[in-house]
Amino acid sequence: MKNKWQLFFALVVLFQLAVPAKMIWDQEYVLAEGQSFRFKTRAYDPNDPFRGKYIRLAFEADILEGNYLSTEGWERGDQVCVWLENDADGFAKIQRITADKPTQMVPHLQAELDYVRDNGATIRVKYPFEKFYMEESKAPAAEKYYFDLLRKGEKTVYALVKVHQGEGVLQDVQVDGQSLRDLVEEIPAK
Amino acid sequence: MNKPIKVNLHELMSEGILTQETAQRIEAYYEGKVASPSSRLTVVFGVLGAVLVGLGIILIVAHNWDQFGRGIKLVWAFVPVLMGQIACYYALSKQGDQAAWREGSAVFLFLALGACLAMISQIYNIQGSLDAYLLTWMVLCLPIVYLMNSTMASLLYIGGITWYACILGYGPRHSEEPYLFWLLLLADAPFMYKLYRDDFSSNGFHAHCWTIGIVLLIVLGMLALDAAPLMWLAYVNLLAVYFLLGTQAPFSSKKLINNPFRALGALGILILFLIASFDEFWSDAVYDGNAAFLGRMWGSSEIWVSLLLMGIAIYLLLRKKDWHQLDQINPLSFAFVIYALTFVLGYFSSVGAAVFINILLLAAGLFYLRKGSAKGHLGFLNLGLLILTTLIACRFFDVNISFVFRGILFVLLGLGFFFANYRILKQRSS
Repeated sequence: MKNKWQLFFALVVLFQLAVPAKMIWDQEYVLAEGQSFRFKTRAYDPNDPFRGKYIRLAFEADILEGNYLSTEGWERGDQVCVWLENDADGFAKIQRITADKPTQMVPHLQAELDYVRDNGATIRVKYPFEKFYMEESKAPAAEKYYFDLLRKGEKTVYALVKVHQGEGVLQDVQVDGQSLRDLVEEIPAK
Repeated sequence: MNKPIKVNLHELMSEGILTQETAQRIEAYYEGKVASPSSRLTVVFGVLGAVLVGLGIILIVAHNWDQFGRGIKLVWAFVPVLMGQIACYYALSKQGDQAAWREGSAVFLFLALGACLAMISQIYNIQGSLDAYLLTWMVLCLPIVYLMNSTMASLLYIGGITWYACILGYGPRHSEEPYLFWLLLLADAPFMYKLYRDDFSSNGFHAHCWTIGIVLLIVLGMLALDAAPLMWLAYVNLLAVYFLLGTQAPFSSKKLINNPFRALGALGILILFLIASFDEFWSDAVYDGNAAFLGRMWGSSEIWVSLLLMGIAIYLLLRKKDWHQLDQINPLSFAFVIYALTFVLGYFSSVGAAVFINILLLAAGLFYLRKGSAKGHLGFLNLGLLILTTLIACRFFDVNISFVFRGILFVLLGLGFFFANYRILKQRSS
């Protein structure tokens, strides 16, 4: 009888550790095996209230114009497959958007469909990495700094994302090659 | 054991009224009685402590410590979980039933798992939706309920899955039916049955009754899709099931505070009937001109849920034992039958339907008034008066009567309240 609960206990402990461990494993796998993409960020609605401990990112490459594939039956919130490529400057760009995963080896990302316009000519998606978490004391300063940068437009701000088999892991937000986390460290505290 | 009893026992023993053996037995009885509330308090403080520490850890995690590397942060994500698991193991291996340890460690592990998942999401900037997070968290915590035999963990689990269901069922993506919720709730059912069987008069069981009573009222609305007006019927039937359950054995012997089915059932039925007592309710809200929902009624989930609940209510109504005393039957017991008939009648005449509902409310008001004065029970008496007053106040919106007349009627009703209460209080004192 005594061994019975101990066995159950051991199974529960294993289960409770295995699930978070699997989550970590999945992320680490993408970081290790994935291909790096640089997603240029852009300013979004400045009235969106800041949520405390993360910066909300919006990306330039979240829209595909001049799409020629059928989008019949697509609805907002559907999961779609975004095929990625690099533009001439080395920033991520959408090649095409499909409902199913590509059969050939193409870097792609699972994303949420935001909207389809003009009979499918324009498609916009929402990437699963719009939040960049920062320490709560630094986040407000970082956000102000981030928006000032975007408004001035002098420097290039982009998100470094590892992409592997449809999964994307946001690694860092960088400003001309420097991590936003390090840059914020240099801002004198007010 | 308190001092006066001890002193009295000694006195009675020395006077030869009690034998020494009887006195010892009385002493032992009171000592046993005193032990239970104090141990209950330890459980309460154990759980409270675990909740505070667990929530504290979640807040510390939310700070998002940038100066640590990914590895260290990941290790720290697991520390509270491991501590919780060790505490649970300790509680289980202790001899005898250590309720405070069991409940406290279970609650702590429950919250620690939530913190661990949140921390992993932060470290990897996983956006993940809230419903997916809650689902993972709750599934991880379900075994704690059974392993630790923990009432608090079960309540937290039910709360968590309800939150999950509300995000899916009432959120912006509410096209998704949270079917998984019912499966998750079913997974907790064996634990609730065990509580019912073994601890029928425990606080844990009562807390579960309240939680389930409220949770079912919350989630039932998610089934509203194509034929939404039918949900009125479904709700009245669910509340009728509550009320009939609460007024029958084994629940009927419980106090109102421990009998959520009777409390929620009676209050809910009265509120829904007051809403339905306006004829505009039938003409505008239910049969809105074209009554288009009737066409797709038989294919909708609403009608089948309503019928299922009605079936249960009819079964409970037939099981009721007090049919021979016609005047003892509470009109609320068969209110759902009236409502169902009115639902049909309302299609043809909204005024007719409203009249039917008003008659039932009037009957319910008089029933409680009579019961209250017969038993000298102020609660029933005032409930009866309240039903009648609200009914009259509602009818004032319908009819065009002069303010003076309305005013006089309300003064009279107020005097009625005073007089009825005064009479009962006087009856009692004499």
